Amino acid sequence: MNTALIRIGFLLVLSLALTVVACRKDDDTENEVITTVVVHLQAVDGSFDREFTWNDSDGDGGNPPAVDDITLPANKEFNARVHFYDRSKSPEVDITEEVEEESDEHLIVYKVSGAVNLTIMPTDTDKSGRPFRLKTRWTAGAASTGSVLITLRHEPDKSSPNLDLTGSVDAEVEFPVRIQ
Amino acid sequence: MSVYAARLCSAMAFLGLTTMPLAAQHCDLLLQGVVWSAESGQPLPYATIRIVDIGRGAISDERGAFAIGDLCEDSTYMLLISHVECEHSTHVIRLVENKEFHFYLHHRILSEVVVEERAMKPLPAQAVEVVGEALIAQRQGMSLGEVLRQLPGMAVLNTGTTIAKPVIHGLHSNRIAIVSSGLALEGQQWGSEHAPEIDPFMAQRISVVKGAAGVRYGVGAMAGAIVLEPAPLRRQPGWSGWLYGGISTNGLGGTWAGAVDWKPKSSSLALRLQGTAKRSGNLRTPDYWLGNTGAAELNFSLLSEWKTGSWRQEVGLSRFAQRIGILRAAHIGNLTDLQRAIESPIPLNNDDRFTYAIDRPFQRIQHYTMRYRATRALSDHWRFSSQYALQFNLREEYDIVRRTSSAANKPQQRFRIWTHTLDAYWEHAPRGHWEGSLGLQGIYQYNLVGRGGLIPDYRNIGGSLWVLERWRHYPKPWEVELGLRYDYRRTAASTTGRLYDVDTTVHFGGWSGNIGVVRRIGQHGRWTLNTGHAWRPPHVNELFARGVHHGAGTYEEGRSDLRPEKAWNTNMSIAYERGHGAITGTIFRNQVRNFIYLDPQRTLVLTSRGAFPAYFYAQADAVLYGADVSATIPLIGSLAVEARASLLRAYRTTADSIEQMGGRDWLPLMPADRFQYGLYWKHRRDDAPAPPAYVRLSANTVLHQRRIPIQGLLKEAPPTFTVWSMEAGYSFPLRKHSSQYLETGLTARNLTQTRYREYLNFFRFFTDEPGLNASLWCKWHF
Repeated sequence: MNTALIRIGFLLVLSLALTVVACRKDDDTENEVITTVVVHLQAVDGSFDREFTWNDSDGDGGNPPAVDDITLPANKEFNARVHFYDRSKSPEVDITEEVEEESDEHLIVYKVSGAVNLTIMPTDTDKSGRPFRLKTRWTAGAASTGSVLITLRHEPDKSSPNLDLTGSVDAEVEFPVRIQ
Repeated sequence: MSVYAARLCSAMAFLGLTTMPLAAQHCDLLLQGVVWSAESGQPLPYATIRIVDIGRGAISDERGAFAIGDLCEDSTYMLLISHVECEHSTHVIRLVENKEFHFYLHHRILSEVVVEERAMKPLPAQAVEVVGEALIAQRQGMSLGEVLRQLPGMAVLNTGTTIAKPVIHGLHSNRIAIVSSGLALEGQQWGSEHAPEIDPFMAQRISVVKGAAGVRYGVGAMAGAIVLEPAPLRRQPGWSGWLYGGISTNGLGGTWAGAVDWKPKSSSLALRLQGTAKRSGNLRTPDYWLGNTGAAELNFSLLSEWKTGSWRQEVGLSRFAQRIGILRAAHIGNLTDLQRAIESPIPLNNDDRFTYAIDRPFQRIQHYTMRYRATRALSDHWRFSSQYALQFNLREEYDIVRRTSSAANKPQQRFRIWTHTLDAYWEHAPRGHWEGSLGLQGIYQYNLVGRGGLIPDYRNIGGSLWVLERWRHYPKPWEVELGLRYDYRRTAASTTGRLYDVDTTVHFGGWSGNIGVVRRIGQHGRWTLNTGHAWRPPHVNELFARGVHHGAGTYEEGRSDLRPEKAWNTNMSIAYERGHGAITGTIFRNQVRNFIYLDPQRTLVLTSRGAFPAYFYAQADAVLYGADVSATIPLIGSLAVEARASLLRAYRTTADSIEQMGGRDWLPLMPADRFQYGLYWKHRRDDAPAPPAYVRLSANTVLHQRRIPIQGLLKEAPPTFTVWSMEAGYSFPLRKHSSQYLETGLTARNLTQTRYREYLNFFRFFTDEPGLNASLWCKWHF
């Protein structure tokens, strides 16, 4: 009888331990989602200062994203800076800070398409002096339309000759562009 | 069906009665059983079993089994069992239908002999494949999926090298049940990258039921079941066990496992502690390392049994813990990344070196079970059992995140599921040649995902009632099985995440049933025909999923109005075994109404990582049919040719006019036709209790899968390939007449360093399958 009691006690302790481990109800998972990309454009001559937003705050699927048209005055130069946010959380998380902090592990890629008269040149480098391109200079020519595809790449191989295609995509959004 | 162990001294047996058959008795019973070596627990071949009273007898075969026919019911017979190496023993037995006798013989003189009477569990009427002890021993150290891959009709769904899910006749996940020690595994089976949390080291025997097995194993077993049974606990005082150690060259992996069985002298308690530890690093294909494919595993289990009064009680505890790396190159951000990865002949972003380190992305999985079962003989004819079990499953998925972000030390997905099951069932001994069981089951499940999860949180409540009866009447060659079951499931799903809200309750109920016929053909053959209906409710992910499936590069969305799947499954099989030769064949047809699948849409869903093709869950009728054949043909001496083929066709009906196949479309990710063939040589030393020495050389050819859906495939199925493997083993006793022996083995997979990709591997987009892997192992039985 005694041994039976010991056995049952042993099992009870084990099962209790199991339940305690199991029932810890902390919810410390965290997803990193970039829901929003903002392009801040300031004319070098100070005549223009606007933010253009690509926003999908309900995440993948659901409502389609809201995308601003980038409209720029012709024949001007602009300083551009890109911002990334997670607006699915409250308050919103500014992911740009993390991107800047780990500039050597990130790369922003711009691809202009269509007949738009736009050139984009980098004005910054990462910690190790290699391409980063969070800050760029946009040169708008004559009136025209097209689009720009902005891609945030994580862990690119910055020593690769075609570095724009390395790493994995963390964000990729396309803005229509109109120069007028 | 009282299971009792009677201890008889040899001397006592002579006091037994002599036979006095009465005229009215049925004299058509079969005495069958197994003779075991009491020391080693191994079957004892070439033992002589003689019925003294009537002067008839038999000799046990290689598996220790024997059978003597045409005996009378309710008569007593005196048996004399002898073996060259053992003390003769005499037993008086009384025959009851469908029982099997187990005789444990001692090598030493004048010791106690144990006779045990066991109810013979009939094999299910469905087609069955069994992985016996010998084959398990040869495949030790592999995951459950890999152990089963060799069986006809089976395939494996892989996500890289570290995640393997068994597939029965093309179906897997929620459509099959995995039952370990009488308990159905409840985890996150719905995911294709969620491997079963099972340690094959705890099993002595694995059987695969191919076909609707819903009556026996519940709604999960729509397409079949995988049933793992541990070795029986010690019946005699003392202790024994085994220790296993194995190393493998690919991934520089090591596996250690061991078990200790103990039974004290003065108690009815019997106990086993078992543990397994595994560690391996990056694997290598013939040309490059597979970055971040290391794995670590640590499992424990405890099994105990004791008797108090007329109750037999059993407690089982187990823990399964795993940490598995996910190929770094398979982490892709969007469709462009995926297309580039597919177009590249070698993996991109690959960490091409060896390391044991497991980095993000990885999965951390834990599964705990706790089980208590009590069994009591109610009368000569009835036995009652009840079981309560708690299972807890934790799954954490760690994705690649920015080092400085607050997510850097947290998992990105966490699933926790608690499952309580309560079973009660009654089994009855043959009455008018019918024997069987009936029971009820309750299940309560709580699944906690939390914010931002792929699926909502949910609570499941369910109940079932079932009855399963079997008609057998020796010597009539026919047997009939009938089963009926009703299941009810209620699911309340809710999520309060900011991304989307769900708060719904759905319920489903349905019948399962099966009719099976078994016919014995002479002493060596068996023919079965089984037809059954089974169903399963749609899973929460099929109802409510919403998001991008990164590995697949698709956007997936559930549908909350899905109806249950209903399958009508018919299979016929023939098995013939004689001497060293054996042949089995199965043909099957599985008609599934409301088959749930992912339907490619003609739209793209725009996300912040670019556009993804949309797939919505949809339902259509599907048909899966095919055949499995397996043959072992003796050549010269103990050399045999082994051959296996598994063929499958699977399509669904479509309402769509653009489909070309007359309103049909092939189902995605169905195993291509596969063939295995090779040579097997084995040797058995008559004086050894250990399994035979063996050498096996085999090739596995998998054809190019041409039957793929018209739409939505990112890369054509890989071409036909053939992979060669070799297995060899030798075991020897450590001391004469002792139960201690050593098993050793050498296996090598992909001998020729073939470069190939498997259609059923999600990571076929990124890398080749691993190259040569040689492993060396030994197992010491003490």
